[in-house]
Amino acid sequence: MKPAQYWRDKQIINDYLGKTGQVVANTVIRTTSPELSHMAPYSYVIVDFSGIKKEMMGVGNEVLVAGDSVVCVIRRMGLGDLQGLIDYGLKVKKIME
Amino acid sequence: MKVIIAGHYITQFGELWSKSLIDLMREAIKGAIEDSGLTETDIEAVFVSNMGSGQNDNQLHLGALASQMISGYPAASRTEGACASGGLAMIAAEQALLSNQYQTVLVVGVEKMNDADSSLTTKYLAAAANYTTESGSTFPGLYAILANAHIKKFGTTRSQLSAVAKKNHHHGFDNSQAQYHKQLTIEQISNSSLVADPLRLLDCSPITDGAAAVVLTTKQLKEQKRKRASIIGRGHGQDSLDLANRRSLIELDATTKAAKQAYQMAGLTSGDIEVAEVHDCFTIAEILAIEDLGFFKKGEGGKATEEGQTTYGGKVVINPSGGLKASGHPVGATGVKQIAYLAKLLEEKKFTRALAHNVGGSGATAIVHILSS
Repeated sequence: MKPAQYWRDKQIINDYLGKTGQVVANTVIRTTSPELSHMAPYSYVIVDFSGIKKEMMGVGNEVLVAGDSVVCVIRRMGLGDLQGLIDYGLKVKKIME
Repeated sequence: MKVIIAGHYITQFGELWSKSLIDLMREAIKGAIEDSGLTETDIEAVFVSNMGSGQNDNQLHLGALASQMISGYPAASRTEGACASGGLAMIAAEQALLSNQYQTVLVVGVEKMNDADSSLTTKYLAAAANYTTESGSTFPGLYAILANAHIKKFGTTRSQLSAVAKKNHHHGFDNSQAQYHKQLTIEQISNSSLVADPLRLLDCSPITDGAAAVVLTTKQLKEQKRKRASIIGRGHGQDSLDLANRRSLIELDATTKAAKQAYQMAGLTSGDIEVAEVHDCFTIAEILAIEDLGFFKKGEGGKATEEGQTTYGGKVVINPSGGLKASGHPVGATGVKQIAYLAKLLEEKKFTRALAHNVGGSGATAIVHILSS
């Protein structure tokens, strides 16, 4: 993990944490890179946040489909360095009605 | 000024354990020069296309490496545009010829992918996506999103996706340099393991080692034992790197832009094309390609494939080599291999008008070439 990149990547979290949007496109990723393999399968979606679209990972054990309302939360992104900084980031979670 | 494909060569594609990146590049370069009937000193510049040699082989500066393989150390450079690297290198070479900077150049595409662990290969291929905004994505995942959008809009079916793979394996069976010589059934493809829903293992092109090279010239060739093909149209389209900023998930704008330029330059339409090598990195990619290139109406690519319209005896032969799916997809080599393969078909008088379609990323970059005999 590169400290400067880690610091830069975390700057945008405040902009989206707690924001809600709607899933407009989806898939479930089952085969992935080593860093994320422990999280597979996971949903990977495009979310429309009031006109701005972003691609996001879904939280663990939740299948997201087009039409779902979701909220941005903080979750671990990968295994990273288990002794050092936690690699966290934004994912989306279904809003239960 | 005409760009003539004076010579071409494609190595075996596959898991080539005994061949290194350098071995493959040398074989393709030497093969293309020999096929052209020219000498090494006729080559004034070499354009190398490659995506992953830095990560996979700890080797960059491939232009210098390629130049060292040719007498006289011609000017050299490397082009990278993910899976469209080959098409981009072709464009760069053609522009150098058409600007009169050179009269004869060589384009070589090469990729050595199998030495690395497949999980690391998955990671470096994902570098073709937007690293900051597509974190967590994989290539199958991005194309799965496109597939789901196409299915939702047009009702494209599982069996139509499978029909693409079945057809390409059928074509590849007769291509001695293809990675796979294995006929597949619809059931085998449709029941293979899920990779990213709805795409299954046999919807995906493989990890491949290989190289291809072409010699391009604007000079009249002295030796005329065979009638060479020439490039009569080219186009280059771009779109956003990430899917989220695309205008549409059911159409690759980069492809439509590139195709429009190429058809206009050639003075042709899609109806004039008899054969095409299109970028079928995944089965849905071929369905999108044949629609966006104008061969079939939007939404009907799957149906057309299932009905046999994209094989011999149909409307247009798509991926006679087996495509990326069966012939293999050594990333940097694919765009050059498409040109080399089509040139051979035209020289053999099997067709008169051909099209090559090479895509980078999930459709951020698209290059279209039109060839004529």
